[in-house]
Amino acid sequence: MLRTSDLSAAQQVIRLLESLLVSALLITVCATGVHGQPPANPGPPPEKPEQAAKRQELQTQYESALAKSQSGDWDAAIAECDQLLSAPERTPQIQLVRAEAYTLQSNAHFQKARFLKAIDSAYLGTLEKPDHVPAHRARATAYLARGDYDKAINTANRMIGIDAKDAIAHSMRGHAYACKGNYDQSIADQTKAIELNPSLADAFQRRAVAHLAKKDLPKSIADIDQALKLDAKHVEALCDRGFLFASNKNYPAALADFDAALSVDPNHIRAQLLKGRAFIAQGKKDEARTYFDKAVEISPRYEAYLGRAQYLQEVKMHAEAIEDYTKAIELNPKLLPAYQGRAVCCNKTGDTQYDEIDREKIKELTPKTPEKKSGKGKKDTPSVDPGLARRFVVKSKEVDPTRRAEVIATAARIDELVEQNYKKYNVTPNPKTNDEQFVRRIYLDITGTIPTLKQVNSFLNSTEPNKRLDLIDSLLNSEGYASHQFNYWADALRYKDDLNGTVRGELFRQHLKQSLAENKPWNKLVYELISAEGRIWENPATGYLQRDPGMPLDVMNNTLRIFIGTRIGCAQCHNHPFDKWTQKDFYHMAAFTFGTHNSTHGGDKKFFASNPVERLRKEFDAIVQEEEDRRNNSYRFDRMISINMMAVHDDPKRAIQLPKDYAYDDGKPGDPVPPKTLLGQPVEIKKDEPPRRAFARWLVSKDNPRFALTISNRLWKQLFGRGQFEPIDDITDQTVAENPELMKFLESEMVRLNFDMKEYLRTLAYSETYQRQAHMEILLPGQVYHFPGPVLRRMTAEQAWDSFVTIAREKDHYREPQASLKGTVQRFNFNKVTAEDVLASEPKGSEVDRINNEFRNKFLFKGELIARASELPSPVPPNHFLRMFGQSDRELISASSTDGSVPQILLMLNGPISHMLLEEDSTIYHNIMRKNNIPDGVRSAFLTCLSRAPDREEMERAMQEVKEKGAAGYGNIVWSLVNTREFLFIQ
Amino acid sequence: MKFPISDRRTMMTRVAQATLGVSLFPALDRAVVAADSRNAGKAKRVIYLFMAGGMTHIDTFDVKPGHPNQGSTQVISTNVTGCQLGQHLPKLASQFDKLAVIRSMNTQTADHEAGEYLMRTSYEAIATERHPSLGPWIQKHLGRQNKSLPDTVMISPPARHPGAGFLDPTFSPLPIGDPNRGLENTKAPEYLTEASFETRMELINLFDKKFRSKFKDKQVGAYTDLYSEASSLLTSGELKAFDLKEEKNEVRDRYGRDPFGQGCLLARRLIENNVRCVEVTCGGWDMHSAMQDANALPKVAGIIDRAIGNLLEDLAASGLLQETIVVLATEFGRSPELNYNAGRDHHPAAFSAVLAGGAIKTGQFYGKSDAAGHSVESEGVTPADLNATIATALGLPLEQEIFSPTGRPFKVAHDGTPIGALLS
Repeated sequence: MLRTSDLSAAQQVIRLLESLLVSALLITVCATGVHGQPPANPGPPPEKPEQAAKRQELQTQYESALAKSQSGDWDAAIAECDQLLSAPERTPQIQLVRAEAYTLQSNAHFQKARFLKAIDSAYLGTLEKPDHVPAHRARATAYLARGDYDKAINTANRMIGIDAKDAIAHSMRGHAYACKGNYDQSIADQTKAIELNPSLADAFQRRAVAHLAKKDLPKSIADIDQALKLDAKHVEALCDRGFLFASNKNYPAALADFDAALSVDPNHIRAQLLKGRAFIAQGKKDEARTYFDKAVEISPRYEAYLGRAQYLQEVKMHAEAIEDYTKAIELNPKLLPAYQGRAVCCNKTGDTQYDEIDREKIKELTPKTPEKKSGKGKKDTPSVDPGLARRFVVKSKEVDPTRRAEVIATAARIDELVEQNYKKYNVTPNPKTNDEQFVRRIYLDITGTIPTLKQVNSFLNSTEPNKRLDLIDSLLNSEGYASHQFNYWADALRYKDDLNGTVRGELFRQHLKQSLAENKPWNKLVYELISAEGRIWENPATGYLQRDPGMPLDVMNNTLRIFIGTRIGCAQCHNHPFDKWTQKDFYHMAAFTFGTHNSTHGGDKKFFASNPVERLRKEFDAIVQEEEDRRNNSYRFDRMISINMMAVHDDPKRAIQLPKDYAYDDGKPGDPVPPKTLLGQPVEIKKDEPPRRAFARWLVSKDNPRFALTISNRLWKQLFGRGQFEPIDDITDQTVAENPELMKFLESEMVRLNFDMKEYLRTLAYSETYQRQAHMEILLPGQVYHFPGPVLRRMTAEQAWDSFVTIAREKDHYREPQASLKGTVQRFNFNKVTAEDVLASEPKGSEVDRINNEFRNKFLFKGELIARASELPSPVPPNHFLRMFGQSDRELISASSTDGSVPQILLMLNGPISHMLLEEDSTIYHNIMRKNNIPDGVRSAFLTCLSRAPDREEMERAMQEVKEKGAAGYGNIVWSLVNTREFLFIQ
Repeated sequence: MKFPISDRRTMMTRVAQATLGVSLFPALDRAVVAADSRNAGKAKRVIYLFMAGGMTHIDTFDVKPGHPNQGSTQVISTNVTGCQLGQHLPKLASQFDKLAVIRSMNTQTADHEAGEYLMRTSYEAIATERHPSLGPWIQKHLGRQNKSLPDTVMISPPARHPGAGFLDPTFSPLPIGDPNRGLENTKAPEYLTEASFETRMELINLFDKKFRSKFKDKQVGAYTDLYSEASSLLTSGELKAFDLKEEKNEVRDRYGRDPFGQGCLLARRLIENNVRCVEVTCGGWDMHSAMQDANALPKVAGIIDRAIGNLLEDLAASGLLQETIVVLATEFGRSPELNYNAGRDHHPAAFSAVLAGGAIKTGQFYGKSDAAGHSVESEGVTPADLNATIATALGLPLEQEIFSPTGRPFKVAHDGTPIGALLS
């Protein structure tokens, strides 16, 4: 028995110990028996006789394989199992046999140091029987041997999940922790294992190692003694004790232990290595060599190479040492001491070829000290927030200040035409808005939110004669313009961040925003959407067509509706019942885009000379990885390829045919239908151009009788709340505008302005008609409205949300991150990319997401992301404020709604957003509390929420409230103000 | 049959214009197939339970004992002689007399979203139209039933639920994300006493006085009405219908403390409070790998067995089952052959659905898949047929066409045929 007193020179021992500790730990692998145990599950259903017979046959085969493995003929055992496993039968009983066979194979592979195969076999075993503990144990064992400690821990956790009282699982987990340098956790696990099974020698031995690592010799010795007491032939414990004897220079005792170990297991590498070390320690370096060579010979494992490399380094045979270190690294790329040793040796020989990799790996693998319990807070705080640089911000183009006179003149012409109808229909126009009404309305109409207190005050206090026109111009120049317009068009285009399940839409949405901000002429913007080709990151405008892959008929239908207000959907299946379109007209139109595809594939000769997917698949299959990883990665691999295959392109040869049930006498089912426009001028399809491009040209042409008409009416409706004709997207030959002459003028203006949307909106906003007060009476259904002023409207969902955000926090909102960041890591060139690159692109994308989310989370308030609606995901979840207030779920064209509902009111009364306003760091709180007296505070509250001052009655009541209740009184006032109809409606 | 172009168009236009809102071509043939009209409309309410992800049929309601495809799921007997279920449904097996199990459901789509959409609407998803789901259809045909609570409530619904489809947004089902939290935003913050709620209401009315007297707009008036409706809902007892804390702990435990179990309990409470249609979604069925793992099939099947078993028991005890139809549906089944990950993949060619309730002829299997569980062998049922059967039980007019805002006609169960053998 070993005693503490034997170790007089404890200090010296520990020094020596440290140099050996690493290898001691690494070599201590678990060789716990992995042979099956009967399952604890309730009995399976009775087998039928033929099933029982088959099971019996397989069982016999298994036993034969088991016998082969026991005699050390591992490969024969594996082959026998392979044969057994090829049987197709599956019953619960047979699956148990199969699980055991896989486990046996795993064990055999392990013995032959084929750890990856051992892991895979064990994994397949768990697929047969998820709760088959021996298979999990075999897998964990192989992970430990392979140095994959995290996965060993995961597997041990799985076993503990199956049986919380599994002592072996605890011990294995503890051992993996020790290998990771977490000795406390290791000791805890071993102690738990011992508690569960006091006769588990492995747990004592492993705890001894952990104690040793913590330099607690007495405890270590006690545990080694206990392990050997439980199992006098415990090889690892014998090695440990021998090691301690050797440390104390008691070489005879040490060698006795090592020999004892080798007599139990002649192939025990650690015993061989330790024996070699004992000879070195005695100065017999030449004799030592035999044992290191022997270790490598027994089993070509990294431990053996590492041991010999360390020996070679010690005897200054650096070149050979480098070779062995390199071999060890090949076998275990995470082997820190090998990199360290190799670096030292290379330094001696002047060999530089490994410099870079060694430096990198040593840095990567050296445990971080001190080890924190959680992964958080590790990073240094950078001086500049990396998130800010990642934000997507539009660059706006300003309206031309020199054109003001021209715009005023055009606006006057509009007023003139409107007034003609006042006279004709005997309409009294509404009075002009006051400044309070105007400032609120123009901010909402152009930028999509109410003005801030400062903006209200600055406008109300200004004495500039042209202050309204100045404000209109400056708002059109602001970022808010693009934000508001984006909300409108996202609704019309059914924009989704997840465009079609494969392609992400962020690049498209940012393209749209930027196009709107830079005031791209509407015809150009639309032409780009319809004619775009390529992948989303090559041409983000392809996002429009990527929204509906494989639905060419629906896309045509939607496109005509959105951009030229024409509905031909009914004619898809039969002649239109209420309009003039025939089914054939529909097919003529659909013929333009029928050849458009959303994706390509590896065999597509137009894109690829040789099939890159086949090549990548082969490369993927050649990657060395665990079977489970291969299966999981296979899906991700295919997905990354699919994403990169999503390219909009045309097959001009693909012709559309009349449908099978075509029932009219101007054609037969199956007849090919050539492209032909259904209204306006015919379009010529140029040689070498896909018909889609000709269609795009026709669609946005100034000659198209409905293109300028549709957009000029849509924008009119944006400011006046009602179109010159309604519905804005269902024009028929019977459609008559409220004021045909005005409509004609508006349309001609749109064309004259070359589809400049900002100048057009500027003209409308300059008009007196727009600047009149909103309509005050109930409009009856079918009643023609002659625009005595704009129509009273409930805010859109986005206007309501953005206005709340303005009151709650007027600046420092979250902005969406640049979509190109993710595109950059996910896109690849099929001609150059390797399978490894493809696989790596997915986690790289996730890393971008992670950083973006981290940035995003800084703007969360009580779970709500504080940002303008145009920065939020699309669609937001159904219970989001925006959806409750009628934002579209983006499934149907312009499906948003401004109707009320009870849940919506409940959200206003009790939802988090109202309370957000009352927090101490809210904008409105500051606006009020900055004031020194109650009347000013009340005035601020009214101006912030309603953009107007309180009248006397309101002031008196509000002051009383504040006097009685202090800050709580202000809370009541603010809460009540945002719950008024006046807040929610645009007058 | 071919019409000359002009004739057919003129006729269609004329008919459609004359009968806008009703059927273009009243199809009489349907009446022959349809169930006896005396039996239609027995059910007054629906609980629609959706197994999202694709419920494996061969391990649950369509077992194939003795066939290699059965894998390691065992088969158990039920309280109806000769009828067997998978081992994870013991509670439902003990009440098989309350179930009608359809084993011949089939569709063409193996895509989750497309399959769910088809099951819920009877129509294929298209980019130009959205079809309503069951609850809004009922409300469209029969009118609103509940004054203060919504007629349709969806518990843990998927993001892409068709909801009210093209119908007016007022038909939209009320979504409840977490059954434990019930109806959101009904609790006033702690700092708000009842007195200050009243003060606030008074302040709203004062601040809003001028605006409201100036604008006689209909929508403004509607909002004012909604505010009073919401306030009275907050003070009425009806909200308790949404509050599971009103149930005893033992009851909540009995249903299972998982979202689906609590969802079924909430569904029961809502049905008791005259809500007409409640849909509860149970996720976790998309078992592509290791489906025998304790966290996969045994767990998910255990959840539905406990929840639905208790729901049926309670509804039967209170007598409500007589006038309620309970539906268990899923978007497709799972491949009868185990894949190499010991899981099953999407399989629309044959799968199962279950009906229960007074309007249903229960204690039976309807339809059959083949011996391998692969294809339908007899009496195939499409989602439209299933919905037509449910709609018939509820007394909805199958042939009545409702026009979407784009002017296209649609029917509650599309072109489905109700299954007489399933209706009692």
